Amino acid sequence: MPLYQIQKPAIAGTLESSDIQIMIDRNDGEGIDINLTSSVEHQYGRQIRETILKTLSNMGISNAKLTAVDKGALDCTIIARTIAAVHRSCGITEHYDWEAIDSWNV
Amino acid sequence: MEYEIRRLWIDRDPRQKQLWQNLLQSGGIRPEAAISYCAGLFFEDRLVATGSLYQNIIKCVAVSPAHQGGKAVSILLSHLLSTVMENGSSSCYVYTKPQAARSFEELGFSELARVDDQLVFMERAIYGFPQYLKDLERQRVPGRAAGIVMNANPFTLGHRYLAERAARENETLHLFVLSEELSAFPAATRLELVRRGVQHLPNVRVHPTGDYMVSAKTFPSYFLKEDVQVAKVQATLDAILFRDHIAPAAGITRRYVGEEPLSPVTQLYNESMKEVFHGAIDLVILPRVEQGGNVISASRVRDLLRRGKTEEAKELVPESTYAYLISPEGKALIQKLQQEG
Repeated sequence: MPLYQIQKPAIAGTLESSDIQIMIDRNDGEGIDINLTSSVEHQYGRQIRETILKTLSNMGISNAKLTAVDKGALDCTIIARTIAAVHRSCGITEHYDWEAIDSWNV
Repeated sequence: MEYEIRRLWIDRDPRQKQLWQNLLQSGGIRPEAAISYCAGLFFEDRLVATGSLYQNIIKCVAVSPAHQGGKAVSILLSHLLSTVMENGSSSCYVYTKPQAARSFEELGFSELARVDDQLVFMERAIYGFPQYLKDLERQRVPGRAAGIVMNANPFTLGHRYLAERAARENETLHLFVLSEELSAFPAATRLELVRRGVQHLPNVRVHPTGDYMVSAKTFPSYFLKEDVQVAKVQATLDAILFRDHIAPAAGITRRYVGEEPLSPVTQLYNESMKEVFHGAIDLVILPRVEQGGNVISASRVRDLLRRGKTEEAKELVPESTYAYLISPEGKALIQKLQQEG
Protein backbone atom coordinates (compact mmCIF):
# COMPACT_ATOMS: atom_id res chain seq x y z
CA MET A 1 0.00 0.00 0.00
CA PRO A 2 1.36 3.43 -0.87
CA LEU A 3 2.45 5.61 2.01
CA TYR A 4 0.10 8.45 1.15
CA GLN A 5 -3.53 7.68 0.46
CA ILE A 6 -5.80 10.66 -0.28
CA GLN A 7 -8.83 10.02 1.90
CA LYS A 8 -10.80 13.15 2.67
CA PRO A 9 -11.07 16.81 1.70
CA ALA A 10 -8.28 18.85 3.24
CA ILE A 11 -6.90 22.35 3.04
CA ALA A 12 -3.51 23.99 3.62
CA GLY A 13 -2.19 27.50 3.21
CA THR A 14 -3.88 30.87 3.24
CA LEU A 15 -5.06 33.54 0.82
CA GLU A 16 -2.50 36.02 2.03
CA SER A 17 0.06 37.62 -0.22
CA SER A 18 3.02 35.32 -1.12
CA ASP A 19 1.07 32.24 -0.08
CA ILE A 20 -0.98 29.60 -1.86
CA GLN A 21 -4.10 27.91 -0.57
CA ILE A 22 -4.49 24.32 -1.66
CA MET A 23 -7.58 22.17 -1.31
CA ILE A 24 -7.29 18.47 -2.08
CA ASP A 25 -9.70 15.55 -2.35
CA ARG A 26 -9.90 12.08 -3.85
CA ASN A 27 -10.14 11.59 -7.57
CA ASP A 28 -10.35 7.81 -7.79
CA GLY A 29 -8.78 6.53 -10.98
CA GLU A 30 -9.10 9.88 -12.72
CA GLY A 31 -5.51 11.07 -12.43
CA ILE A 32 -4.39 14.43 -11.12
CA ASP A 33 -6.66 17.37 -11.76
CA ILE A 34 -5.55 20.87 -10.72
CA ASN A 35 -7.80 23.89 -10.88
CA LEU A 36 -5.52 26.91 -10.47
CA THR A 37 -6.44 30.53 -9.84
CA SER A 38 -3.49 32.87 -9.76
CA SER A 39 -2.86 36.55 -10.17
CA VAL A 40 0.32 35.60 -12.04
CA GLU A 41 -1.18 32.71 -13.98
CA HIS A 42 0.03 34.13 -17.28
CA GLN A 43 3.70 34.14 -16.36
CA TYR A 44 3.89 31.36 -13.79
CA GLY A 45 0.76 29.20 -14.15
CA ARG A 46 2.61 26.35 -15.79
CA GLN A 47 5.44 26.45 -13.29
CA ILE A 48 3.06 26.38 -10.34
CA ARG A 49 1.25 23.36 -11.78
CA GLU A 50 4.52 21.58 -12.42
CA THR A 51 5.69 22.20 -8.88
CA ILE A 52 2.48 20.75 -7.45
CA LEU A 53 2.61 17.76 -9.85
CA LYS A 54 6.25 17.06 -8.99
CA THR A 55 5.50 17.16 -5.26
CA LEU A 56 2.53 14.82 -5.65
CA SER A 57 4.59 12.44 -7.75
CA ASN A 58 7.35 12.48 -5.11
CA MET A 59 4.73 11.39 -2.61
CA GLY A 60 3.53 8.62 -4.89
CA ILE A 61 0.13 10.16 -5.53
CA SER A 62 -1.35 9.56 -8.95
CA ASN A 63 -5.03 10.39 -8.30
CA ALA A 64 -6.18 13.62 -6.67
CA LYS A 65 -8.35 16.60 -7.35
CA LEU A 66 -7.01 19.97 -6.26
CA THR A 67 -7.98 23.58 -6.32
CA ALA A 68 -5.20 26.08 -5.72
CA VAL A 69 -5.55 29.81 -5.22
CA ASP A 70 -2.15 31.36 -5.60
CA LYS A 71 -1.18 34.76 -4.28
CA GLY A 72 2.34 34.84 -5.67
CA ALA A 73 3.89 31.99 -3.68
CA LEU A 74 7.49 30.90 -4.18
CA ASP A 75 8.21 27.29 -5.14
CA CYS A 76 9.25 26.34 -1.58
CA THR A 77 5.88 27.59 -0.30
CA ILE A 78 3.98 25.70 -3.00
CA ILE A 79 5.81 22.49 -2.08
CA ALA A 80 5.24 22.99 1.65
CA ARG A 81 1.52 23.67 1.23
CA THR A 82 1.08 20.68 -1.08
CA ILE A 83 2.84 18.38 1.38
CA ALA A 84 0.73 19.71 4.25
CA ALA A 85 -2.54 19.31 2.33
CA VAL A 86 -1.66 15.71 1.43
CA HIS A 87 -0.75 14.82 5.01
CA ARG A 88 -4.02 16.27 6.31
CA SER A 89 -6.02 14.48 3.65
CA CYS A 90 -4.37 11.21 4.65
CA GLY A 91 -5.08 11.88 8.30
CA ILE A 92 -1.35 11.97 9.16
CA THR A 93 -0.73 14.33 12.06
CA GLU A 94 2.59 13.00 13.36
CA HIS A 95 5.60 10.91 12.35
CA TYR A 96 6.26 12.81 9.17
CA ASP A 97 8.81 11.16 6.94
CA TRP A 98 11.25 14.06 7.09
CA GLU A 99 14.02 12.08 5.51
CA ALA A 100 12.01 11.42 2.36
CA ILE A 101 10.66 14.97 2.24
CA ASP A 102 14.21 16.27 2.62
CA SER A 103 15.48 14.09 -0.20
CA TRP A 104 13.16 15.80 -2.71
CA ASN A 105 14.91 19.11 -2.20
CA VAL A 106 17.59 18.98 -4.79
CA MET B 1 1.28 44.54 15.80
CA GLU B 2 -0.19 41.56 14.05
CA TYR B 3 -3.70 40.57 13.20
CA GLU B 4 -5.17 37.92 15.41
CA ILE B 5 -8.17 35.68 14.81
CA ARG B 6 -10.41 34.84 17.74
CA ARG B 7 -13.69 33.08 17.94
CA LEU B 8 -16.54 35.38 18.98
CA TRP B 9 -19.09 33.96 21.38
CA ILE B 10 -21.94 36.18 20.28
CA ASP B 11 -24.57 33.94 21.81
CA ARG B 12 -22.92 33.94 25.26
CA ASP B 13 -21.05 37.17 25.64
CA PRO B 14 -23.25 40.27 25.37
CA ARG B 15 -20.23 42.59 25.23
CA GLN B 16 -18.76 40.73 22.24
CA LYS B 17 -22.14 40.65 20.60
CA GLN B 18 -22.44 44.44 20.92
CA LEU B 19 -19.00 44.98 19.35
CA TRP B 20 -19.90 42.60 16.56
CA GLN B 21 -23.23 44.30 15.87
CA ASN B 22 -21.59 47.74 15.79
CA LEU B 23 -19.05 46.56 13.24
CA LEU B 24 -21.73 44.99 11.04
CA GLN B 25 -23.96 48.02 11.22
CA SER B 26 -21.13 50.37 10.27
CA GLY B 27 -20.79 48.24 7.13
CA GLY B 28 -24.51 48.44 6.36
CA ILE B 29 -25.06 44.80 7.24
CA ARG B 30 -27.77 43.43 9.47
CA PRO B 31 -26.91 40.73 12.01
CA GLU B 32 -28.32 37.30 11.23
CA ALA B 33 -29.74 34.81 13.67
CA ALA B 34 -28.72 31.64 11.83
CA ILE B 35 -25.02 31.50 12.69
CA SER B 36 -23.09 28.44 13.82
CA TYR B 37 -19.61 29.98 14.07
CA CYS B 38 -18.47 33.56 14.33
CA ALA B 39 -14.88 34.74 13.93
CA GLY B 40 -13.38 38.11 14.80
CA LEU B 41 -10.18 39.62 13.50
CA PHE B 42 -8.41 41.80 16.06
CA PHE B 43 -5.74 44.43 15.55
CA GLU B 44 -4.18 45.96 18.63
CA ASP B 45 -6.89 44.23 20.62
CA ARG B 46 -9.64 45.94 18.68
CA LEU B 47 -12.21 44.12 16.57
CA VAL B 48 -11.57 45.24 12.98
CA ALA B 49 -13.22 42.53 10.89
CA THR B 50 -15.69 39.71 11.29
CA GLY B 51 -17.13 36.83 9.33
CA SER B 52 -19.47 33.99 10.26
CA LEU B 53 -20.50 30.56 9.13
CA TYR B 54 -23.74 28.73 9.01
CA GLN B 55 -22.66 25.18 8.20
CA ASN B 56 -20.72 25.71 4.96
CA ILE B 57 -22.16 29.13 4.13
CA ILE B 58 -20.10 32.25 4.79
CA LYS B 59 -22.15 35.12 6.16
CA CYS B 60 -22.00 38.56 7.68
CA VAL B 61 -18.53 39.54 6.49
CA ALA B 62 -17.57 43.08 7.49
CA VAL B 63 -14.21 44.83 7.56
CA SER B 64 -13.77 48.23 9.17
CA PRO B 65 -12.84 50.89 6.58
CA ALA B 66 -9.27 51.42 7.85
CA HIS B 67 -8.46 47.75 7.26
CA GLN B 68 -10.09 47.27 3.87
CA GLY B 69 -8.00 46.53 0.80
CA GLY B 70 -5.24 45.00 2.91
CA LYS B 71 -4.63 41.56 4.25
CA ALA B 72 -7.41 41.63 6.86
CA VAL B 73 -9.99 40.12 4.53
CA SER B 74 -7.66 37.39 3.24
CA ILE B 75 -6.69 36.35 6.77
CA LEU B 76 -10.34 36.25 7.76
CA LEU B 77 -11.46 34.29 4.69
CA SER B 78 -8.55 31.84 4.94
CA HIS B 79 -9.61 31.11 8.48
CA LEU B 80 -13.27 30.63 7.58
CA LEU B 81 -12.42 28.34 4.65
CA SER B 82 -10.12 26.23 6.83
CA THR B 83 -12.85 25.98 9.46
CA VAL B 84 -15.37 24.77 6.88
CA MET B 85 -12.95 22.11 5.62
CA GLU B 86 -12.06 21.02 9.15
CA ASN B 87 -15.75 20.47 9.72
CA GLY B 88 -15.61 17.92 6.91
CA SER B 89 -17.15 19.89 4.07
CA SER B 90 -15.37 20.21 0.75
CA SER B 91 -17.40 23.14 -0.50
CA CYS B 92 -18.14 26.61 0.74
CA TYR B 93 -20.76 29.16 -0.35
CA VAL B 94 -21.40 32.84 -0.10
CA TYR B 95 -24.37 35.00 -0.97
CA THR B 96 -23.26 38.55 -1.43
CA LYS B 97 -23.99 41.83 -3.13
CA PRO B 98 -22.73 42.17 -6.69
CA GLN B 99 -20.21 44.87 -5.65
CA ALA B 100 -18.42 42.33 -3.46
CA ALA B 101 -18.36 39.55 -6.06
CA ARG B 102 -14.97 40.55 -7.46
CA SER B 103 -13.22 40.36 -4.11
CA PHE B 104 -14.58 36.87 -3.61
CA GLU B 105 -13.49 35.88 -7.11
CA GLU B 106 -9.95 36.88 -6.20
CA LEU B 107 -10.20 34.53 -3.24
CA GLY B 108 -11.06 31.64 -5.56
CA PHE B 109 -14.85 31.76 -5.51
CA SER B 110 -16.81 31.34 -8.72
CA GLU B 111 -20.20 32.74 -9.52
CA LEU B 112 -23.10 30.30 -9.84
CA ALA B 113 -26.01 32.68 -10.37
CA ARG B 114 -27.10 36.25 -9.80
CA VAL B 115 -30.36 38.09 -9.28
CA ASP B 116 -30.15 41.44 -11.08
CA ASP B 117 -28.30 44.01 -9.03
CA GLN B 118 -29.27 42.44 -5.74
CA LEU B 119 -27.41 39.23 -5.15
CA VAL B 120 -24.66 36.92 -6.34
CA PHE B 121 -24.41 33.29 -5.24
CA MET B 122 -20.83 32.00 -5.25
CA GLU B 123 -19.05 28.73 -4.59
CA ARG B 124 -15.58 27.63 -3.57
CA ALA B 125 -15.27 23.87 -3.90
CA ILE B 126 -13.09 21.00 -4.98
CA TYR B 127 -15.86 19.32 -6.93
CA GLY B 128 -18.76 21.70 -6.72
CA PHE B 129 -21.49 22.66 -9.13
CA PRO B 130 -19.73 21.65 -12.40
CA GLN B 131 -19.38 18.12 -11.05
CA TYR B 132 -23.00 18.06 -9.80
CA LEU B 133 -24.17 19.07 -13.29
CA LYS B 134 -21.91 16.50 -14.94
CA ASP B 135 -23.44 13.77 -12.77
CA LEU B 136 -26.91 14.98 -13.74
CA GLU B 137 -26.00 14.97 -17.41
CA ARG B 138 -24.95 11.36 -17.11
CA GLN B 139 -28.49 10.50 -16.01
CA ARG B 140 -30.05 12.31 -18.90
CA VAL B 141 -32.49 10.26 -20.99
CA PRO B 142 -33.76 11.10 -24.48
CA GLY B 143 -37.32 12.36 -24.68
CA ARG B 144 -39.32 14.89 -22.70
CA ALA B 145 -38.19 15.24 -19.11
CA ALA B 146 -39.92 16.90 -16.19
CA GLY B 147 -38.60 18.06 -12.83
CA ILE B 148 -40.05 18.29 -9.33
CA VAL B 149 -38.31 19.71 -6.27
CA MET B 150 -39.60 18.64 -2.88
CA ASN B 151 -38.62 18.60 0.75
CA ALA B 152 -40.85 15.57 1.45
CA ASN B 153 -40.88 15.98 5.20
CA PRO B 154 -42.13 13.21 5.01
CA PHE B 155 -43.25 11.83 1.63
CA THR B 156 -47.08 11.86 1.45
CA LEU B 157 -49.78 10.73 -0.97
CA GLY B 158 -49.80 14.35 -2.18
CA HIS B 159 -46.17 14.06 -3.24
CA ARG B 160 -46.85 10.71 -4.80
CA TYR B 161 -49.74 12.09 -6.82
CA LEU B 162 -47.53 14.88 -8.17
CA ALA B 163 -44.82 12.36 -9.09
CA GLU B 164 -47.27 9.97 -10.72
CA ARG B 165 -48.82 12.69 -12.86
CA ALA B 166 -45.46 14.01 -14.02
CA ALA B 167 -44.14 10.49 -14.65
CA ARG B 168 -47.19 9.67 -16.76
CA GLU B 169 -47.08 12.84 -18.84
CA ASN B 170 -43.34 12.73 -19.60
CA GLU B 171 -40.72 10.24 -20.69
CA THR B 172 -38.64 10.89 -17.59
CA LEU B 173 -39.16 12.56 -14.25
CA HIS B 174 -36.22 13.95 -12.27
CA LEU B 175 -37.24 14.25 -8.66
CA PHE B 176 -35.02 16.46 -6.48
CA VAL B 177 -35.13 16.14 -2.72
CA LEU B 178 -33.76 18.97 -0.58
CA SER B 179 -30.52 18.00 1.13
CA GLU B 180 -30.59 20.59 3.85
CA GLU B 181 -30.76 19.35 7.43
CA LEU B 182 -33.43 21.66 8.72
CA SER B 183 -36.44 19.42 8.78
CA ALA B 184 -38.04 17.10 11.31
CA PHE B 185 -37.03 14.15 9.12
CA PRO B 186 -33.30 13.88 8.36
CA ALA B 187 -32.24 14.39 4.73
CA ALA B 188 -31.14 10.77 4.27
CA THR B 189 -34.50 9.51 5.56
CA ARG B 190 -36.49 11.91 3.40
CA LEU B 191 -34.50 10.84 0.34
CA GLU B 192 -34.96 7.16 1.12
CA LEU B 193 -38.72 7.51 1.69
CA VAL B 194 -39.05 9.29 -1.65
CA ARG B 195 -37.06 6.51 -3.35
CA ARG B 196 -39.30 3.85 -1.83
CA GLY B 197 -42.44 5.86 -2.54
CA VAL B 198 -41.76 6.09 -6.29
CA GLN B 199 -40.35 2.60 -6.75
CA HIS B 200 -43.42 1.65 -8.81
CA LEU B 201 -42.58 4.36 -11.37
CA PRO B 202 -39.71 3.08 -13.54
CA ASN B 203 -39.08 6.39 -15.31
CA VAL B 204 -38.39 8.42 -12.16
CA ARG B 205 -34.86 9.38 -11.11
CA VAL B 206 -34.35 10.69 -7.61
CA HIS B 207 -31.54 13.16 -6.85
CA PRO B 208 -30.43 15.06 -3.76
CA THR B 209 -30.29 18.82 -4.33
CA GLY B 210 -26.87 19.10 -2.70
CA ASP B 211 -26.03 22.68 -1.85
CA TYR B 212 -27.85 24.09 -4.82
CA MET B 213 -31.26 24.81 -3.40
CA VAL B 214 -31.63 26.48 -0.08
CA SER B 215 -34.55 26.96 2.20
CA ALA B 216 -35.71 30.30 3.53
CA LYS B 217 -34.15 29.42 6.87
CA THR B 218 -30.62 29.28 5.52
CA PHE B 219 -30.92 31.95 2.90
CA PRO B 220 -28.93 34.92 4.17
CA SER B 221 -30.68 38.22 3.68
CA TYR B 222 -28.50 40.49 5.80
CA PHE B 223 -27.10 42.40 2.84
CA LEU B 224 -30.36 42.98 1.03
CA LYS B 225 -32.11 46.31 1.30
CA GLU B 226 -34.66 46.42 4.11
CA ASP B 227 -37.58 46.87 1.79
CA VAL B 228 -37.04 43.99 -0.62
CA GLN B 229 -39.03 40.84 -0.19
CA VAL B 230 -36.46 38.33 0.92
CA ALA B 231 -38.58 35.33 -0.04
CA LYS B 232 -38.97 36.77 -3.52
CA VAL B 233 -35.23 37.17 -4.05
CA GLN B 234 -34.56 33.68 -2.76
CA ALA B 235 -37.26 32.16 -4.95
CA THR B 236 -35.91 34.02 -7.97
CA LEU B 237 -32.37 32.78 -7.33
CA ASP B 238 -33.58 29.19 -7.00
CA ALA B 239 -35.55 29.52 -10.22
CA ILE B 240 -32.57 30.99 -12.10
CA LEU B 241 -30.24 28.18 -10.96
CA PHE B 242 -32.84 25.69 -12.12
CA ARG B 243 -33.51 27.36 -15.47
CA ASP B 244 -29.90 28.09 -16.41
CA HIS B 245 -28.07 25.06 -15.06
CA ILE B 246 -30.03 22.19 -13.57
CA ALA B 247 -32.76 21.95 -16.19
CA PRO B 248 -30.38 22.11 -19.20
CA ALA B 249 -28.08 19.48 -17.65
CA ALA B 250 -30.92 17.02 -17.10
CA GLY B 251 -32.83 18.03 -20.22
CA ILE B 252 -35.84 19.20 -18.21
CA THR B 253 -38.44 21.29 -20.02
CA ARG B 254 -41.29 21.12 -17.53
CA ARG B 255 -41.50 21.71 -13.82
CA TYR B 256 -44.39 20.41 -11.75
CA VAL B 257 -45.52 22.06 -8.53
CA GLY B 258 -48.47 21.68 -6.22
CA GLU B 259 -50.94 24.50 -5.95
CA GLU B 260 -50.83 26.19 -2.57
CA PRO B 261 -53.75 28.55 -2.17
CA LEU B 262 -53.27 28.80 1.59
CA SER B 263 -49.56 29.58 1.85
CA PRO B 264 -48.56 33.06 0.62
CA VAL B 265 -44.86 32.09 0.62
CA THR B 266 -45.37 29.08 -1.61
CA GLN B 267 -47.58 31.13 -3.85
CA LEU B 268 -44.84 33.74 -4.14
CA TYR B 269 -42.47 30.91 -4.99
CA ASN B 270 -44.69 29.68 -7.79
CA GLU B 271 -45.12 33.20 -9.14
CA SER B 272 -41.36 33.85 -9.19
CA MET B 273 -40.83 30.57 -10.99
CA LYS B 274 -43.40 31.49 -13.60
CA GLU B 275 -41.64 34.82 -14.23
CA VAL B 276 -38.14 33.33 -14.44
CA PHE B 277 -39.13 30.26 -16.47
CA HIS B 278 -41.11 32.28 -19.00
CA GLY B 279 -40.47 30.84 -22.44
CA ALA B 280 -37.80 28.41 -21.22
CA ILE B 281 -39.57 25.91 -18.98
CA ASP B 282 -43.27 25.12 -18.68
CA LEU B 283 -44.60 25.42 -15.17
CA VAL B 284 -47.37 22.93 -14.47
CA ILE B 285 -49.36 23.75 -11.33
CA LEU B 286 -51.50 20.86 -10.12
CA PRO B 287 -54.31 21.15 -7.57
CA ARG B 288 -53.62 19.44 -4.27
CA VAL B 289 -55.06 16.05 -3.42
CA GLU B 290 -57.61 16.00 -0.64
CA GLN B 291 -58.40 13.50 2.05
CA GLY B 292 -61.36 13.92 4.39
CA GLY B 293 -62.15 17.37 3.05
CA ASN B 294 -58.66 18.79 3.61
CA VAL B 295 -55.60 18.92 1.38
CA ILE B 296 -52.90 16.37 2.11
CA SER B 297 -49.71 18.01 3.28
CA ALA B 298 -46.56 16.97 5.09
CA SER B 299 -47.26 19.54 7.79
CA ARG B 300 -50.65 17.91 8.42
CA VAL B 301 -48.87 14.56 8.79
CA ARG B 302 -46.32 15.99 11.24
CA ASP B 303 -49.11 17.59 13.21
CA LEU B 304 -50.86 14.23 13.58
CA LEU B 305 -47.62 12.55 14.61
CA ARG B 306 -46.99 15.21 17.21
CA ARG B 307 -50.40 14.60 18.69
CA GLY B 308 -49.78 10.86 18.84
CA LYS B 309 -52.17 10.01 16.02
CA THR B 310 -49.87 7.94 13.85
CA GLU B 311 -52.80 5.70 12.96
CA GLU B 312 -54.66 8.64 11.38
CA ALA B 313 -51.57 9.68 9.41
CA LYS B 314 -51.79 6.32 7.67
CA GLU B 315 -54.50 7.75 5.39
CA LEU B 316 -52.19 10.49 4.18
CA VAL B 317 -49.00 8.62 3.36
CA PRO B 318 -47.99 5.72 1.11
CA GLU B 319 -47.40 2.33 2.70
CA SER B 320 -43.64 2.75 2.47
CA THR B 321 -43.73 5.94 4.55
CA TYR B 322 -46.13 4.38 7.05
CA ALA B 323 -43.87 1.34 7.41
CA TYR B 324 -41.08 3.72 8.38
CA LEU B 325 -43.29 5.60 10.87
CA ILE B 326 -44.06 2.41 12.79
CA SER B 327 -40.48 1.10 12.62
CA PRO B 328 -38.27 1.54 15.71
CA GLU B 329 -36.38 4.33 13.95
CA GLY B 330 -39.61 6.07 12.98
CA LYS B 331 -41.03 5.73 16.47
CA ALA B 332 -37.92 7.31 17.95
CA LEU B 333 -38.25 10.20 15.52
CA ILE B 334 -41.92 10.72 16.38
CA GLN B 335 -41.03 10.72 20.06
CA LYS B 336 -38.47 13.44 19.39
CA LEU B 337 -41.06 15.42 17.44
CA GLN B 338 -43.45 15.24 20.37
CA GLN B 339 -40.83 16.35 22.87
CA GLU B 340 -39.92 19.33 20.73
CA GLY B 341 -43.62 20.24 20.61
